[in-house]
Amino acid sequence: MLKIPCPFCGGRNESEFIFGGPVGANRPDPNAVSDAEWVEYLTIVPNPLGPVQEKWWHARGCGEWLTIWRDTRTHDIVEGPDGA
Amino acid sequence: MSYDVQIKRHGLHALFDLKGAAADVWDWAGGTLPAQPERPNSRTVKGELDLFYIGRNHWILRAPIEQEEALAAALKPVDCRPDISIVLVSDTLTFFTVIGPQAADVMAVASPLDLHPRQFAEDAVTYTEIFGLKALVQCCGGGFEFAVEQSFGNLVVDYLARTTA
Amino acid sequence: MQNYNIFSLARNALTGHKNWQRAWRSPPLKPAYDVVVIGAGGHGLATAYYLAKEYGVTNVAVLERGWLGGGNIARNTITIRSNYMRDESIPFYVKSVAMYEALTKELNFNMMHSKRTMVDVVQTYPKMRELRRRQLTMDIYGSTYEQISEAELRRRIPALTGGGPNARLPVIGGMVHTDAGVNRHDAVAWGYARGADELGVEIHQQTAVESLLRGADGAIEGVQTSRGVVRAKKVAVAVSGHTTTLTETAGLKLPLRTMNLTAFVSEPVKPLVDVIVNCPDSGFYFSQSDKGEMVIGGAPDMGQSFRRDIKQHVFEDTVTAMLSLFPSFKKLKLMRQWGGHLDIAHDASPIMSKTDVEGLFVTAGWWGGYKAIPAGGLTLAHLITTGQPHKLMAPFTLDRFRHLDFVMEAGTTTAR
Ligand SMILES: Cc1cc2nc3c(=O)[nH]c(=O)nc-3n(C[C@H](O)[C@H](O)[C@H](O)COP(=O)(O)OP(=O)(O)OC[C@H]3O[C@@H](n4cnc5c(N)ncnc54)[C@H](O)[C@@H]3O)c2cc1C
Ligand SMILES: [Zn+2]
Repeated sequence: MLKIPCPFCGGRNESEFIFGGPVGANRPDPNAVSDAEWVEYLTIVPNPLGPVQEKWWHARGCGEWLTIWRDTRTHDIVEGPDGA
Repeated sequence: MSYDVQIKRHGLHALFDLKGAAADVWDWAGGTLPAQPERPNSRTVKGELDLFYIGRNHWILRAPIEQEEALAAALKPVDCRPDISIVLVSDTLTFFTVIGPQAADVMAVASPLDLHPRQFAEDAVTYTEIFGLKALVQCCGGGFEFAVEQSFGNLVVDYLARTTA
Repeated sequence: MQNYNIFSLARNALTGHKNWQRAWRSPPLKPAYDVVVIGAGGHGLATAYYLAKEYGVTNVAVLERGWLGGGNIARNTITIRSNYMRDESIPFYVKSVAMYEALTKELNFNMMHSKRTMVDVVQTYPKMRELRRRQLTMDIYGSTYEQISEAELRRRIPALTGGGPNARLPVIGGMVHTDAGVNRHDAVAWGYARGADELGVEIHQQTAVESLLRGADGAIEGVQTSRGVVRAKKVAVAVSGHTTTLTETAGLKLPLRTMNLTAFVSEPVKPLVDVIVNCPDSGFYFSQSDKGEMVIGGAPDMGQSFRRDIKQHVFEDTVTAMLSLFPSFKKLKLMRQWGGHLDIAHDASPIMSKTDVEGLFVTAGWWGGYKAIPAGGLTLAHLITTGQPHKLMAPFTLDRFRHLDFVMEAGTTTAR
C-alpha cells in the first residue's frame, strides 16, 4: 500500500486513488514527425528498473490529478508532486 | 464484537456544489456563504449553514432542507455568472452519524483515514473512503458524521450493521 | 538419457533410488554457439527444445541468471485454456493446449495434466455478452465455450453460495470451457530441459546476461554475461518481465510494461471444487490442487512493478471478492502468498518477433503465458531457423505496431 502525497489533502492511502498510467512523451504534431516517431509516441512508455513517473487521480478524495516518481523495485515514492 | 455507539441515517439536507476561483465565487455568493475556509479540507459555519472546502476551487454548502428554496433563490444556480458553477445537489448524498464512546473504533474499520484528533481537527472535513466508497467525513459532537452517494445508502446501512454486530 | 518408465522405476527402487541419473548436464561454457537463448523459463526452454527437435539446431546455449524454472513459471497458477477473444489469438492457444495434452508422451515426463474444465461465474450482462461474443469466434477455431444457467452453475460448483438475488452483483449465469486444464509447472520446465539437454542443447544456470553485443554492422554478435562474453549470430530474449531491461542495452525500445501479478494458496482441504473457477466480474479465480490447496489469483496491481511480493490491499481486495461469492472460504487458512513480474504489451497480446537488430529475436508480453509455452517455443524456433514467422504467430510480430494494427486482447487475464 502506498501513501500518496496529494497537494491538496496531504498523504493519503493508495486506495483513495485511481492509477492514471505512466507519464509518456508529450504528444508531437503528427504532421511534423515521421511514422516511426508517431508509432513510438503512441505505443512506448518508459519501463525502468527504478524510478518511473506516473499519474494518479485522487478520485475518492479531492479529485486532484497529480504525478509522482515511484521506484518500480521498492514502491518508494522518490519524488512527490509539486506543492505536496 | 459489538460497539458502544449510536448509528443514525439522516434525512435530506439542502446541498449546493460550488466551483470556481474563490474570488469569483465570493463575488457572486459572498453575502450568503459562511467565511471562506482557509485550510484545505476544513469547514466554516454561519448560523445553520456549513461550508466545506473539499477540493481545489471546490466547496459544498450544507443547510437544513427547509432552507433549500431560499438558498436557491439567493445563489441562483441556474443564472450564476458563467465562470463559476453552482449546482443544487441535495438529493445526491445521504448522511450518517456514528456517535458514542467507540465511534472512532467503528470509523477505523470503515475508513483508512487517520481520524485521531491530532491528525483530524475539530473543523476538518474531507472526502475519503468509507467501506471502499467515496465519502465525505467530518467530526460532530461526540463522534463522526459522513455522507455517501444516496444510491449506496442501503449498502452502508448493511456494512455498518455487520461491522457493529 | 534414461527413460522414465515402470521398469526404470522398479530397477531404481531396488537400488534404493541411488542410481538415478541427473536429468541434464552441466557442461563448461563455450565461447560461441549458433543460437543463444536468454532465460531458462518455460519459453526459453521450449524454444531450445524445438530448435533441436524440430529444426535440428543443437549448438544452442540457454543462459539463465538464477536456476532453471525458477522465474515466473514457478509462480504461476497453471491455468491452461484457449478461451481468447480474437481470431488471431484463438488458433495459437488451441494449438498450445493440444500440445500440452500430448506433452507427457512427447517428453517422457509426467506433466500430471488434468483436463478439468474452466467455469466462468458471470455477474453482469456486459460480461455475459462479451463472453458469448468470444464463444462465436471460438466456435470457428474449434475451441469449446458454452453458456449454462445459474442453476446449473450452482449445481456444478456447490461452494458457490454467495451472489444471490439480493447481492450487489447477483450471479446471472456461467460459461463452460471444457478444454481448460492444469498441470505441474516444474514438470514443464524440467521436462523441456531434460529433452533439450538430451538433444545436445546446453543449459547454463547462474549465468546472467548483462548486455547484448552488436557488431560494427549493427547485427547481434553475442552477449556479455557474468561469466564472460558468449558469441552467437542469433540471440533470443525470453526473460519475461525483464525484456526491456535487456533490449535497451541494444538500443531497442519495445512497447512493453512490467507489472506485478500475484497469487496465494490455502491450507489443503478435502476435494471441494473439481473445475477451475473464474469470476471475471468480481476479479478473482481459483482451482484446487491435487494436494487439496486452493490456488487463488486476483487482478494485477496497475502500476509498473518489478517486485515479487503482493501488495496488502491487492490481497485484501481479492479475498473480499472471493468471500462475497464463496462465504464458506472464510474458514480457510491461507498458507503462502507471492507475486511475479510480467511484461504486457501495448495491446495485451504477446510479441514473438524479429527486431530491428539483425539476429535478435524476442518472445515477450507473456502476461498469461504459461499456457502458451509449447506453441510459443515451437513457433519461435521456427522463426529463428527459417527467418519467417510461423503462421500461428504471424499476427504477433512487432510489425503490428508499425502498422498500428493492434491485436487488442481482452482474454489475456482470467480475472476481469
Ligand atoms: C501469479 C501469477 C499467476 C499466473 N498465472 C498464469 C496462469 O494461470 N496461466 C498462464 O498461462 N500464465 C500465468 N502466468 C503467467 C506465466 O507465469 C508467464 O507468462 C510465463 O511463465 C512467462 O514465460 P517464462 O516461463 O518463459 O518466464 P520465466 O519463468 O520468468 O522465465 C524467464 C527467465 O529468464 C531469466 N532471466 C531474466 N533476466 C535474465 C538475464 N538478464 N540473464 C539471464 N536470465 C535472465 C529469469 O531468471 C527467468 O528464469 C502467471 C504469472 C504469475 C506471476
Ligand atoms: Zn486530494
